[in-house]
Amino acid sequence: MIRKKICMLGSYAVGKTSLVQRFVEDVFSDRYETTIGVRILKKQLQVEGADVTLMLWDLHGDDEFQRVRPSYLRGASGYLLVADGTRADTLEKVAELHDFAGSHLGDVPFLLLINKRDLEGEWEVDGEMEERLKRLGWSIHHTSARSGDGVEAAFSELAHRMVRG
Amino acid sequence: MPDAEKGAAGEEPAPDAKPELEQLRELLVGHEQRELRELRERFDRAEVTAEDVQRVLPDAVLLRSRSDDQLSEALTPTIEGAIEGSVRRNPQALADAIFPVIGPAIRKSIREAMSSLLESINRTVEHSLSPTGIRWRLEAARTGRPFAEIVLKHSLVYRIEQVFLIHAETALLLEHVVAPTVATTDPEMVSSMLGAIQDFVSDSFSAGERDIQTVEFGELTLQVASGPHALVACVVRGISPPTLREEMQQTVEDIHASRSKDLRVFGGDVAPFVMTRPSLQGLLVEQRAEKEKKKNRVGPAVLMVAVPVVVLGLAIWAFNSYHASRRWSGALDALLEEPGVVVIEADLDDGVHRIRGLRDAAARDPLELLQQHGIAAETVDARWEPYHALEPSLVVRRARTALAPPDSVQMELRGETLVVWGRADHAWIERAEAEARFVVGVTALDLSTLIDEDAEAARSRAGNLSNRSISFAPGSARLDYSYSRTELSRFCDSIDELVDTALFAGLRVRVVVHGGKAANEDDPRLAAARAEAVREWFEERYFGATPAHDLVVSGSEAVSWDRNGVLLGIELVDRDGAIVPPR
Ligand SMILES: Nc1nc2c(ncn2[C@@H]2O[C@H](COP(=O)(O)OP(=O)(O)O)[C@@H](O)[C@H]2O)c(=O)[nH]1
Ligand SMILES: [Mg+2]
Repeated sequence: MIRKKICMLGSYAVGKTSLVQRFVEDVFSDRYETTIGVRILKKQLQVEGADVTLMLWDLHGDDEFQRVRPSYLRGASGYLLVADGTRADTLEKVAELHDFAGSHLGDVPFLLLINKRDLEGEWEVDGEMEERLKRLGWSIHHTSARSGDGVEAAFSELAHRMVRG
Repeated sequence: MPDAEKGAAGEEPAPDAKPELEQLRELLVGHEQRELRELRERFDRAEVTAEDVQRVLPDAVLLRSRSDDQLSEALTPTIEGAIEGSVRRNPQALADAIFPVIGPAIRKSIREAMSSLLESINRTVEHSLSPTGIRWRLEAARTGRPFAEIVLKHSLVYRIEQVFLIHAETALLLEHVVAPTVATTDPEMVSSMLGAIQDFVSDSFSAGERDIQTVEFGELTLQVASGPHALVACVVRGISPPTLREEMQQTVEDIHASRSKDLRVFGGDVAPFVMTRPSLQGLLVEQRAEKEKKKNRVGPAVLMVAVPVVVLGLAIWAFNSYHASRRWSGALDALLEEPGVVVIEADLDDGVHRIRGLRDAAARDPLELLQQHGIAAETVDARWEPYHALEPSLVVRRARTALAPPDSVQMELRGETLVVWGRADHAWIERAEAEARFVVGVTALDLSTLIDEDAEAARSRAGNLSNRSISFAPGSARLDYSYSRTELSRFCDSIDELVDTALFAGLRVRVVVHGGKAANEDDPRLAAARAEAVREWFEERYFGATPAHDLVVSGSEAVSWDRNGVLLGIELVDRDGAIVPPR
């Protein structure tokens, strides 16, 4: 049995909470998170025959406006950077968060999710920026928390990369 | 010039004889002279000295420190400076290094503090010849444990229900053990949440200090003992035994010693930590032993504490021989009657009323009682150790204090079941359900006759809303009637209010859409298609706005509703998934 901590990082309202919610089953109103500023959810999956439990850390509501605290990241084995395809500025923010996470976690696996794929007609994010990041070796997924497209695949790629180490 | 040399010079021959003499000297002592010159050179060359010193230094230090303290005095400032520097650069290195040393030292001092507490209790009960006292004494003799420890054991009621081993950095659960018959909520979540709570506390309150030692909720406490790489957390029901902290700290240290490598390189694989189960269970086992003992003996030990016994023993004899006043005796009789008060020793000496005993926090103030019997407060020297009494009236009082029920709630103890009736809001009921079993003396809770006001409100709202219908154009499954859309919108506004009300009662709202078709409509798929259209409409409206789990739309299958429209049913669902009927 393997347990891993994963953090969700991204601007406000890009869909972090919705993605996590989409990925885990059964969420029933938890009250503690409002007080301590994080919400933790759990997902069990199989990676190459091994049982893996992911503890997903997501910032709660208003706290996202504040600076992400280093303690939130501590010990994470991987992270998901989330941007909103309909807001180009959220992709810039992602680069900043990536630097921040890297400085605390070092070289751990991460993915970039460009979310709200179902609104592709309204996308501001252009392919060029994406290409640049890809050339830097970033793995990028287009997801939709709304339809569920690409969500499972993204989390499971991250899980595989973390487990393979 | 020193005298000795002058003398030597006097014996020397005249300067003119020097060449021959030099030759002679060369012949006689030339070898020694060369050695002497070499030696002198050695002394003059510093680098040679350093080399030599490193050869002799260890022995020199040893020799010197055997004879006096000067060397260590000379070195102290340098070494202190070095340590200070190292700590400033990286305090963790030193902390990690001394953890195994400092742990035992701290425990030793705690043990000393504990033993003095035990002693003071020992003194309190030393002279007691009550049946309780005698029984405890026998137990002490039988088990070979100090008498005071036996008293403590019977006075404090507790149980360690779960033990978590948690990785410090990631807050991931490494291992978890649980006492038999205890129901657990998701330990992996508890572990991460504890980590997040610790982060929150340290980020908000103090710089760097991350250790929370206890988190209290009702009579349940979470006790935490931490080491550099892992922490052990125990869920304790009742009052924690004073020795628990020490045992937990010992366990943390043992685990750091035995699994040191696994802890340092931990990358998520928890398999190696199965090996820690026995030591974690050690924290439970001791409790279980005590429980079993209680069961085997059908609870006399507990009863002993429960029944108030005024123990006069030698004290009565002393009291009689002093021919002390009737008042004192009357007052002691009253204490004897008082639930939750156990007098262990009492005497009257020189006008001072001295009492030692046990007192439940929920019991009446003994001093007040004494005053009612005409004993002035200034003349009373009383010392009460805490204990938990099991008389029903006290258990109920304790439950009232712990649960703080509204005025509309009544309580009574039947056996060990706390029966609660009347009316209360849902939040209070939830709290009571969670906390009642942690009230000492209560093992079960009966709420069957208690009315949940929030659930009542939700049920009557749901009753009013149920069975609305939405009409479709004949032969059509399209929701394009603006009238139908307005109806649906209005319905949804009411649903939103209901969701809010239901949330207070811990209930979810489920909307069940029954599709229907009129008898004169031919297409058999119409009913299902209509239900589907309404379902889609709901999804569209609620996505993102209302947490999906609070509103479930189902029932797109056609049901026997023989009209050209859909019927909207409302169900309330509780946490366990059971349906609560509307009224
Ligand atoms: N259309 C669309 N909306 C989304 C998607 N993911 C999230 N949203 C919406 O975006 C808003 C913010 O989502 P949330 O998960 O709270 O974002 P967070 O602040 O990053 O946690 C909500 O109104 C969601 O319903 C998506 O994939 N598509
Ligand atoms: Mg969020």
